[in-house]
Amino acid sequence: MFTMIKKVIQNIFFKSFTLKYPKEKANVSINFRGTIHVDQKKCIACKLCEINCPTGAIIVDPKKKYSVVDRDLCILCGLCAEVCPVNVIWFSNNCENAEKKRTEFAKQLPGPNPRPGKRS
Amino acid sequence: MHTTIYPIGPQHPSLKEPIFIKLHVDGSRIIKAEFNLGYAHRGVEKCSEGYLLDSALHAVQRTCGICSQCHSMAFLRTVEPMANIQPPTKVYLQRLVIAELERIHSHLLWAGIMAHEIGLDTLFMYYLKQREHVLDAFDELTGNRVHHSCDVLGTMKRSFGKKEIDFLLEKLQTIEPEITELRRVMEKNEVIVSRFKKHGMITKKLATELGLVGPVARASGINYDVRQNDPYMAYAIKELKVKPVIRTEGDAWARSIVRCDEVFESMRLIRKACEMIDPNEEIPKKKNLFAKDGSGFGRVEAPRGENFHFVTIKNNKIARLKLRTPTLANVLSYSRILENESITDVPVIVMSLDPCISCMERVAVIKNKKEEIWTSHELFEGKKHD
Repeated sequence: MFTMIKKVIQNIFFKSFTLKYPKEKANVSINFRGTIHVDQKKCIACKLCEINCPTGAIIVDPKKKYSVVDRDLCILCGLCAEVCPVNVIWFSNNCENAEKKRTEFAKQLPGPNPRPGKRS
Repeated sequence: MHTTIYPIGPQHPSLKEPIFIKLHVDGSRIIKAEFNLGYAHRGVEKCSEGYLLDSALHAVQRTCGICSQCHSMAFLRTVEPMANIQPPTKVYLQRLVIAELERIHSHLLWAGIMAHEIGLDTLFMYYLKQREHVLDAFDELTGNRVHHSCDVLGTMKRSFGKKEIDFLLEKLQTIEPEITELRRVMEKNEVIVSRFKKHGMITKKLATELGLVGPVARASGINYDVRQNDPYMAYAIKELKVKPVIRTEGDAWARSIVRCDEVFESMRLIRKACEMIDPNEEIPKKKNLFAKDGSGFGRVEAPRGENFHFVTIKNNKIARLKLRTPTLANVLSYSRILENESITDVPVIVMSLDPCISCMERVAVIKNKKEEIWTSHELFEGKKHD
């Protein structure tokens, strides 16, 4: 009984545990794998990420030295960043990935590397 | 005697799992129970065929959202000896920390759902609030909240530094008093005790006969835990020996208490492992590995029981993969333990085994007594359905 009264009083005076999401931004850890980014200028088109990707989300064009990541298929496992020999793939902690159309997932998002020098 | 057939599932308000249970009832008493599976087939085994070893590891982890690390560890336990690689102790300790955290989060989620099944939704919210702290710890340690994807063959993607370990220990400090209180509620609350005690009885003899695993077997007095009986990775270290939680009652209440106590045992192991991890030590970078052709198997203790993997490798790719999740061993007992119970107790008894039906679903195609092999495209697109 005492525990229950204590809990009730706590719940009246303390801040709520959940967030009012769209108004209040979530405090996401810097280690969180949210969105995949590729530095297209430095990509050497070695195709290692394409071979290793479990879902086939990455397609590399060796002539243009350009890689396209389908963010709809990407499962954010970080294996591509792990195998990349020149470290041009990284993950930012941006967790807002929703798009209105499926085709827009192929569009590459710009973003800085929050953990430079570290692996996936 | 006149019996009525009462169907439960695959879509039912009180049953969250895709399983069809056909009850033959007389009044509200169950005379006979049959169950039918096959509503949520995902084809993990077929998907993984032809994958490189590292890609297959990430596909296998996606079998289950709750015990993702246990699938990863079972696969690694099978494949690492075949690729002839021995990771350093720090990698083993890190894997143990993630696996035990996963056990905590699985048991907390289960306890919440169990409370929800008997209508105690407030208790459900209290359990999920504590689980949220564990998910935050996953976020910080591995980068993903549900499918952690922190392993690669022979090493891990991230090395735990002082910051991560301090964050984890702080989270454990936060949840421990709360979980102690919630365990007391689970043990003493009159509503819970009256709904759980003497329901879904599994005697030691029946558990041995059906070959049950995990907390279900341990609640029936069987001292069996893969971490203790066949120690693997960091569990083989003397300081990290597991003390299994065993009870002899064999009812739904005993299974709840076993799981609540296992949370504390996991916390002890995590704290011990965190002491042993050297935050400044660097773990090796991922290498390209070549495994010998052949087959192997490995087993680990998942939150729900023994998880078994069988892998055949050919040309450094997966040729055959067989997973047996713990639910497959436990689900067979439904038809026995539901007999002579009331319909009102069915949700409690079904959930007390902690079933994870969609992880367990496998498909067998038998047509004209001839063996037939389907490609994954045919399986998913339904080309051969007639």
